[in-house]
Amino acid sequence: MTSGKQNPKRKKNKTNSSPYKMTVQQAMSLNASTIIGVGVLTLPRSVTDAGHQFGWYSVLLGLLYGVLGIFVVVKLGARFPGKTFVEFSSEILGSQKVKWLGPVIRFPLILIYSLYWALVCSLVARIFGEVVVTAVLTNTPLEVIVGTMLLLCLYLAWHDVEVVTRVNEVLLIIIVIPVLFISLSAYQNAQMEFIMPLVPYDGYWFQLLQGSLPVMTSFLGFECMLMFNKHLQEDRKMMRYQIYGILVPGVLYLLIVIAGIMAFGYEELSRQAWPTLELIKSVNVPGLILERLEAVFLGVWVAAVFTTAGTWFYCANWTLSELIGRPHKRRWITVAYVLLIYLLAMRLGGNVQELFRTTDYAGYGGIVLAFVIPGLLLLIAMARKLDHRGEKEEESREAS
Amino acid sequence: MKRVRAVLPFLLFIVLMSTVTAGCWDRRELEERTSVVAMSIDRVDEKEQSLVKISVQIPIPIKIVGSGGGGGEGGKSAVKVMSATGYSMADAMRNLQQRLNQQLFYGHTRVVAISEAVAREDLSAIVDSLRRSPQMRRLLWMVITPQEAVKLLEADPKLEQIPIVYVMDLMENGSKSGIVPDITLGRWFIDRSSSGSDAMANYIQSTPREVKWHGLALFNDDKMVGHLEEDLSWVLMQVKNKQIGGDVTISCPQNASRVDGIGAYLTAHPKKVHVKTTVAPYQNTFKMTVDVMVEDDIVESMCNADFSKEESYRLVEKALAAEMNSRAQKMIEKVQGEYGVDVFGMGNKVRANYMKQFEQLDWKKEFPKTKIEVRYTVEVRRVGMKMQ
Repeated sequence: MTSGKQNPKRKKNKTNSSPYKMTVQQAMSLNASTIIGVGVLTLPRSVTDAGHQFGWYSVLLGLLYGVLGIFVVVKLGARFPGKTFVEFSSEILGSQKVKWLGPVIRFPLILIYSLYWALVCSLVARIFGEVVVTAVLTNTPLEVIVGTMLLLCLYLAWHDVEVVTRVNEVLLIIIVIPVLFISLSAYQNAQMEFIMPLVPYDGYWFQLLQGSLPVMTSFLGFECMLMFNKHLQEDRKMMRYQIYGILVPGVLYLLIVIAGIMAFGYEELSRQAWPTLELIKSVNVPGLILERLEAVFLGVWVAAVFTTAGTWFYCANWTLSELIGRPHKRRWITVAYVLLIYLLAMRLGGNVQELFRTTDYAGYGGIVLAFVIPGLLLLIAMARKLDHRGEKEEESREAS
Repeated sequence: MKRVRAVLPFLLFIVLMSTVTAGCWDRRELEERTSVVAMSIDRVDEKEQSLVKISVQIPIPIKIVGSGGGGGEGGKSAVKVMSATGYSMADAMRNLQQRLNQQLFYGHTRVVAISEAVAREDLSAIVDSLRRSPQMRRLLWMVITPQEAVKLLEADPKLEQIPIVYVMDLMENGSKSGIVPDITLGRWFIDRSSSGSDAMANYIQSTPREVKWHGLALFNDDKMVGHLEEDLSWVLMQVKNKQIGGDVTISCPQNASRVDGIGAYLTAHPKKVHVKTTVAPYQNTFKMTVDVMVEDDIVESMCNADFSKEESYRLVEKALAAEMNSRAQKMIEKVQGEYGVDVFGMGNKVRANYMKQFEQLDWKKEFPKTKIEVRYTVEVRRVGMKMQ
């Protein structure tokens, strides 16, 4: 009943006042908590596979790419304030004379983005399920775990952007503090000789570059800012805070990877399916307040996964409904979309190895969509001198 | 549409609640499962086949003091030891499960005992099983026993209700006071995986009434190759982990005997160990130099020594250092010369400092050729409550 009463009011508000604008801090936490996801659990292994004990350099490289990526995305978005990716892509790709050109060209592009977000959402849900089933709840069917996670995503998708932002903002603190605590307490088992020498030599630089590719995929998630651009405040500090949003997961990843290398050595890491979980298992908290930290960690990690899968699904759903042009009546499409994602999650990869491989491929696709395409669009926009900065203020000034 | 809207919040409430209860799917109450506190692994010949024999120690909750019921007898009656055989670890566990009314839970396992015979054969299959199981903790104690490993589970020192807690405390307290090396399953995995070190494990001897730490078992990859006695293990612990090790007893430097026929001895207790390890290229290979400085307290002396005089200290220090150096020599001869296993983790140190050269080496072959030098210096800090 309550929702029935509230909804008309909300709609009224939307049409009357300007749409919701998130603050710079909110943008930062939305970015950070979307990025922190399933990558945390396997990252120490994937970087040390190629780079051995120098693996943490790959994280630094990946962080650098991430900063570059968000820079491009924010620069691109800043040219079209108050517009989503769906809206401004047609402007960039179309022409002003031939009105139908833009929407037609953008259609496949946006569809790819939407499907990509759906795919990564399903992969995140599936990996989450795999970890829970192998490590904690061994008798619970995978379907139940993936299903409940996706139902949560569905629930989030029915809400406004403001809700999504606030959920991410609140959960970021719940994620970062325990993870920081756990990764720092893992340093009590650290051995210097496992991470030495600190400076890689000749042959390793290339391997580190190779190793930075999987790291890059762990930084994916910032491309959601293409959509959330509509609700970003026009603020000079925005760029800075968006970069902080990459730095938060970056520092967290770096701490965990270095802790993993120093506690286990790269050779032991390469034998573990979920190295971060093993790291937590071997942590002995002084005082014995908590004997089994992995339970705490997995509890926190549910939140981390939810913020990732939820935001991705939100974007997938948002792009699709804007593309179809039915933004207000999207509820049943959303349900259908979640069902599709559920099927994808259950079909992708029969075994864990296949799942990891699919994740790698999806990650490489993500690199194209998050780094290459926004970069190209930015170049086109710059070449065509498309820039709407400050236009709205002028309009409003004229109006008043 | 309005009616749908009215139902929606209720539906969402149910959905949210279901996420909270996802864990209840495999909910199993505490009394509905059988916790294993210790496990032992042996090999037996049955029907002309060599099979794995797994034994578990299971506490009987009702017999434990404080849990009410008829308990209070303590000792062996508070636990049950069960064994089963199979082609593999998992097979044996399954056979064991078939004979139990409740599901076995290995999450509380604190000690895994492996018989020396199995360890000398090959541990890779067992390690694989321990690694794969999500229930096995990395912090549990892995020990090697000279006789059948199940004997350790059956041993009952009578001081603890659950006998294996005795073994566990022995290890835990020992490692805290520096007498027993802190080698858990996770530590063993790490040393085993690293190409610059070989693994070792605690060696525990038991009789039906007693349990004793008896040095270290040395491994070459997954195979146990040798055993190190207590006094040599302590040297290794000082060199490798800066743990203090046990007391050292030597004959007096001043007088060989107190009365005719009865020796005169002096016992020193190490208080603190400072270790400085350096690796450097040496001829065609590498050399590891370990400078160990031990701070000792004299706990007993039958010597004609006057500890108010400086010379007495020097004399005792020299004698102690000589003893430790000779022990270190013996230990190195055994570890490097006889078994050729790098339990020092010297390879890791070489890799840390000379990585380029290390990558071109086969460390397993290189290690016996390297030179290891341990130099002890001893400083006597205190002589207890008595001066002369």
